[in-house]
Amino acid sequence: MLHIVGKVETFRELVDVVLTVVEEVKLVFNPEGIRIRTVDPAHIAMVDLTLGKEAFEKYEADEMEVGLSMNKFSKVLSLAEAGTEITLKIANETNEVVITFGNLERKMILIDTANLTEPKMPDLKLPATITVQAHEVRQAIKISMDITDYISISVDENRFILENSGDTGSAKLELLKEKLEELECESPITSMFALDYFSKMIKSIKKSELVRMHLGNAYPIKVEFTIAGQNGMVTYLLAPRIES
Amino acid sequence: MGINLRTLLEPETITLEELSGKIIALDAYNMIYQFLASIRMKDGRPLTDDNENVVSHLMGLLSRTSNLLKTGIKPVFVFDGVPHPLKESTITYRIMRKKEAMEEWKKALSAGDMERARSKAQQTSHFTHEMVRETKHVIELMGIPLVQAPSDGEAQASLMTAKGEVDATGSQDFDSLLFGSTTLIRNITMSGRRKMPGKHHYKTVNIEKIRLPELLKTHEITHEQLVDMAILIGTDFNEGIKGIGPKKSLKLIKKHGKLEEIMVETGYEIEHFQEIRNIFLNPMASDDYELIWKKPQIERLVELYVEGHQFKESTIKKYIEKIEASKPAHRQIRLDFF
Repeated sequence: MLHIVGKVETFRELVDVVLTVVEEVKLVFNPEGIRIRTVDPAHIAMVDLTLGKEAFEKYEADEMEVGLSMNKFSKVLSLAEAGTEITLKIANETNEVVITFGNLERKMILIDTANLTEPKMPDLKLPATITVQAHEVRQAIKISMDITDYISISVDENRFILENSGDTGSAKLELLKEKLEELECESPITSMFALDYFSKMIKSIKKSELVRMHLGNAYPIKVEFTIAGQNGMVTYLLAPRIES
Repeated sequence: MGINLRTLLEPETITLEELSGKIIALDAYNMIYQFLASIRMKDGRPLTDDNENVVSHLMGLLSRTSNLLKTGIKPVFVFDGVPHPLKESTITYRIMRKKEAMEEWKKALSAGDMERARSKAQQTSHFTHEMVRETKHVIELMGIPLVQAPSDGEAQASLMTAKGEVDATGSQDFDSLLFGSTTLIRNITMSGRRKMPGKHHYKTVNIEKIRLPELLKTHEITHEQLVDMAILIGTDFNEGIKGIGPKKSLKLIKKHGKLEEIMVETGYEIEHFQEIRNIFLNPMASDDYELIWKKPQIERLVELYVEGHQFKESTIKKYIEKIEASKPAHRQIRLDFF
């Protein structure tokens, strides 16, 4: 049994994060909150999300796994005005979630979770850590978009650099230690990532949020940030591109 | 020559940059023949060095391949092996056409008709053993992998594509679709301006991407039916029925389902059709190759072109620079690799 009431913004944050990698997902509910871990079909980008019950106006949930179409859910949410409270109910022995807000009701058939596997989170040693405002990273992505399809991220003891170059020129964002919330790096690190994947991830993060990134040499990047007023935590993992 | 399925398709036009990082299996003979046909002097004669050796293919190889490498494309050159006996007859036909074209060319030259001479000359390209050997050498010096097909080069390239070892097959012909290649890229070494035969203007040639699954879905046919259609039209292995082109063959296949039924209904006879079907549906290919791209040997390349064939350093400079600047292609790895 499930009965959750929350602001539309809260649900939207969850949906937007998940939609960066998949369209259908398995949500794992328990009395403390929601957990999602999923990976895109190409196995390049992973999302691990937890959302505590404190993020909601009302939260009652048994231990259960629910398969939901994020696309369809997103469309329903888009009909609600800012600040609207959305109610989700799943009754025992039923195969559907009932979504209500205002005078509207939408029943959505749940997806069979047998087809929605939960990937294993790789155990990675990522020696460099930086914390920066999402806004800065978004700027870097915007300026790099039409140059080439990858972005190079480098960290050393003093600075953090996002750059790429192509036929039409190059782009670079350089932030020195003083401009960063956090920088921990013993020896220089560089990794490259597909710009479209990286861009999608960063775009789903609120501009004002602080983003924590862990990097290694030619290793995946781990991006951490909070959602729902710090009641939720998201970890993104993006596999690197390497020179062959 | 291969089969012409153009009228059945609506290829997607793409840019060379979109292929960056992709591995493309190129039908070497197909490519070289395009160079031999198009890289000519004004009177139609091929480019030659001081010893009268034809070097049109070397020019094309250098200029076009350097461009691919610079874009970050990873080419693989696939060479034909021993042709299937059924192909022999079309090869003989081609040799005959070459002889006729030679006669026509000489006639046109003496009459002062440059256009006609050039058009005829394009039909006389001859790829000798020595030229093949040298082409392979240049490819190796560029650090590019080479695959020797047991028989049809296009069959080898197509199987490699279908298996996912390479991302696409590069050729002007459509045969790779028949051999089961999932993605065909046309005009990859021809894009840019191309002169229209017999006319005085140029046309921009775009790179075309054709996906077999989508093609089959659009026309609601199976791969086997596409092969049967090709047999009706005429392939490198058989003549085909007179008057039947892609559109008619599509109609017949959709009406009757397969070749056997069509032959019963229409009385058409196609010799060896089962054998030809087999050639396309079970392509012969080798797996004795390594897809490894090495560092190009610039000095030896320059030596071959400049000292070996009297190319001007100034002429080849920009291509050599492109090869030197080849973007290292990046490979996206999966998270479960870690």
